[in-house]
Amino acid sequence: MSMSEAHERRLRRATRILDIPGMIVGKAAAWLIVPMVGALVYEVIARFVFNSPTMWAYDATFMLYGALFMLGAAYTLGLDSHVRADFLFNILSPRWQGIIDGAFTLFLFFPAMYFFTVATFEYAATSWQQGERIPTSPMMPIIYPLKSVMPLTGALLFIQGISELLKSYYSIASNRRFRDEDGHP
Amino acid sequence: MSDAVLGLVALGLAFVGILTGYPMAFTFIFIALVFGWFGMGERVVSLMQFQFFALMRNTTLAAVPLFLFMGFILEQSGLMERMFKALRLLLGRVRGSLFLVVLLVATVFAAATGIVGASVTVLGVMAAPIMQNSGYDIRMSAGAIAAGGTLGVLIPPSILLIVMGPVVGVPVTDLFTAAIVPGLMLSTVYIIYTLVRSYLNPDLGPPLTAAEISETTAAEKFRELFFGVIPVIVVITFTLGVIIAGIATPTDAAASGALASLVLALLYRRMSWAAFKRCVYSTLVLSAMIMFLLGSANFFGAVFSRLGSARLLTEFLLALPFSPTVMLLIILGIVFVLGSPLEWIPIVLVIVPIFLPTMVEMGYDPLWFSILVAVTLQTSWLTPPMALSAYFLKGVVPQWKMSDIYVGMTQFVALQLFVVLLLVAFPELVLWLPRALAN
Amino acid sequence: QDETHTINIQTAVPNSSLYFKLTEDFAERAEAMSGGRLQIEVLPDGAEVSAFEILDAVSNGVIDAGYAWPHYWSGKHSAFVLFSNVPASTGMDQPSLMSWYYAGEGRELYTELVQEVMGLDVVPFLVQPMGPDPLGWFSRPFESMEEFRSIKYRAPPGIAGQTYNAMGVPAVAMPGGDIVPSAQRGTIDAAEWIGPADDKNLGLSNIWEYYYLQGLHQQTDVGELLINGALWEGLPDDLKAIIETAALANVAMTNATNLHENALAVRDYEEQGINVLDTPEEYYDLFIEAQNEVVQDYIDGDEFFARVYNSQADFAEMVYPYHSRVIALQSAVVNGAAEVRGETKE
Ligand code: NA
Ligand code: NA
Repeated sequence: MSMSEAHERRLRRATRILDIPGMIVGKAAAWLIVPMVGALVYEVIARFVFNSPTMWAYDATFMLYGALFMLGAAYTLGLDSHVRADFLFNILSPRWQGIIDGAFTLFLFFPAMYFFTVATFEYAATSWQQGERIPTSPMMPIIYPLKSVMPLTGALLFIQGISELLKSYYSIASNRRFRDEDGHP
Repeated sequence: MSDAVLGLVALGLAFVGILTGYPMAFTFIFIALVFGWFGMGERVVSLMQFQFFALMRNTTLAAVPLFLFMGFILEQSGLMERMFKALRLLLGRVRGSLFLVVLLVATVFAAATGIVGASVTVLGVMAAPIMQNSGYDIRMSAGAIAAGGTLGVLIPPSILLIVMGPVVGVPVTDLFTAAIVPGLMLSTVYIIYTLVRSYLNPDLGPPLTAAEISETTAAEKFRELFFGVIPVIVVITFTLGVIIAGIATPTDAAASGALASLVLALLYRRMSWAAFKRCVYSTLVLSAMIMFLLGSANFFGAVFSRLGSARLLTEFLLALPFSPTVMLLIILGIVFVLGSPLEWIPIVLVIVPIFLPTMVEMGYDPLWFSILVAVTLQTSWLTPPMALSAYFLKGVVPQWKMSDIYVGMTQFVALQLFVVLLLVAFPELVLWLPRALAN
Repeated sequence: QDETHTINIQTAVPNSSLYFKLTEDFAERAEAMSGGRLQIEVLPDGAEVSAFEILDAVSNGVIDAGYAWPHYWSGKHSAFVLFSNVPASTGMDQPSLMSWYYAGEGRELYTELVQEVMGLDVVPFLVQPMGPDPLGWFSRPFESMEEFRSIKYRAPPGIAGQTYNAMGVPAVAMPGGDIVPSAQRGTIDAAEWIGPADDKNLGLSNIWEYYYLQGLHQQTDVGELLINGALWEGLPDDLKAIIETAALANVAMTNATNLHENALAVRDYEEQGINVLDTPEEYYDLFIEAQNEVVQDYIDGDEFFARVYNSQADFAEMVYPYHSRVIALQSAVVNGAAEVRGETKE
């Protein structure tokens, strides 16, 4: 099996388009680290220098952190940066790697992410209905936006999975790796 | 099939699933969903959402991205490489000098926080490239970083001991005091081991060549000490120091350290906008990798513990008629074995209470016993399939092969078990300090 | 009819907690009364889900039953807090609260809140009246509220934390696991935790030597048993009655054990050299004043909250002419005997 150049171009264009949602959300979420640093440094100064800790810094911290790593999961998948124990995997030909990745994405990843998205969607929806607040802080800030990050993460991973499936198909069809040594497509 | 047998099958499949090389976070989620579904029906999806949300709202773990951010700023600016090079220069002919540096940094890190994800990844980001470029043995380097990164579990402050105190009914403060000597012993054993092995076989940690040493003048060494080593050490000491001094919690300090590193990099004119963007995006990718893996491991652990295999095994062994010493070793063996599929939380919360009464009945000191369990549990980060320490390291140093990391860690697991046996043989190592302080 | 029913209760407390043991006491009584047809296992915090997920987890059946405190759910509805930490401004103390719950409108209102307002599939029982919670452990004593305002205090969440902030106390919102390391290092100067007996496990008495027993932020505190509704409906009537009776027995056991264990713990602390101090008078007035303002927003903000609050305030007013005199009598008994023994504090 091999792949015509036109076919390959179309496939690469399709993966680039499918990569967009995960990448945009992920890169945007990455910048949450900046307000996180800001909030905590402010908190340290307020507490240590002025003896008046803020009410909001810790709430802001876990919300920013929770959103950051979840929303980055799809982008991370797109970069193939979720950890693999790849000592056997790396011995295989690109075609076999594609077969394993493709089969796992199809039969394992998609079902898992389907349930992840549906379950967390309901979890978040209930939280919206209750106008839920988080009781572990004196300020009791609203928590449903953070819970909504979970189904969003699931949906982004799902879309990213389709892109990964195409990448596996490429490896199966051409017996070449989709990404070069540095991980670039 | 009984639930307990299901648990063992799930465990076997987790091993196989990892070996296929597919991103393991998703493998764990899938296996947990399937086996959870058999064991508890569709409610297993609720267990999944609870586990992930518990992770998302954990302020302590928020230190992970912040420490990573700090690590990337020091790495991208080249300041970290310069510091390690300078230290190597200063330590000249010492074989394996970088092992010494890494393990010392790991020990200080451990005294400041107990977050394995943060220690392992930051050490990996900072030290792995220079160790590789200096021709250090990859296996031993990986082992030193992965095992060094878990020291914080034992050396106070330790989240594990905080959770364990109310389980065993021993004040957390007593556990902290009792853990100091064993923790420092472990770190010392690691250092001695790496230095002796490097001394015997210089290929493991090659010293500078005579030519390299004679090339650098005393003035150059002096310059590197002042501009290469001291500023970075000041920033790191400042960051970890404010935690130890009580000015800030680990999360606060990680943020302050990131800012201080950025200021330092700007002062050295070593931080461009492009490099800063790389730091931001690398922090995201690695945080997502670590935390998503941790979430899936927690979910797997929750399902495994729900299926009850661990309980059954423990209760079965406890019913056997063994002498106290044999029983103690068997219990530590269970803790070690269960540390492979489980994280420490279900072991401490569900398994320890099962055998604690037996141990107390046999006349063992709960304080000493708790520390034995804690030291043994520290291996749970290093034993596959849930060898999170190895996976965090693999995430930051993708060019290191997982097989090398596994092999490298095994030596340190053996060292750890050796220390456990020492503590079994000489309880005074644990009990001396708390008693001395009580008087 | 001989069918065995298994119920796992996941609690929000660790194994060595006094309240874990009291929940085990409940389980043992129910098992014994049922002749073994009920098999009840008590699990520690985190065994399956984290403490703050217990209500949801019971409702959707992830766990059969749970043990926690109503105020843990105050993020879902503001009125939950009223069933464990009653604002001092209602005039309710711990005995009045339990009287209102079992002899007045309380139980009906709580069931309405859980099942109708929240739509949860949960049957709740208030089983462990454990209040009042102490003000907590301090690195140094304080004579006035002015001094308290310079102390970095780990406060309980919710209305309590909001009240301290309204009083100008620098209350730090800190997860439980951070308390000991932060205390050892001086990141905080004071912290409230659970009660004299349970605080021993944390070891705060090894760090700080001043202990204030009287605080108003949780002057009432009630542990609850939550049972999945479908599971409950599936039980035969006699087993339901057994659980109800064991729950009531648990109230009695908690009253008995709480006073005994906490008193023993306080005696141990004093022998160990801990200074057990009285909270300055000023604190009470300022706290109630600040809490009134905080609570007023909740009353204006939610109808159901207002209904429960008013029911409690009315109940407290109704019992006042009798209850206040009984309290004065009891105080005279306790202090009068102490005077005879020559151990009055002032
Ligand atoms: Na530590
Ligand atoms: Na493990």
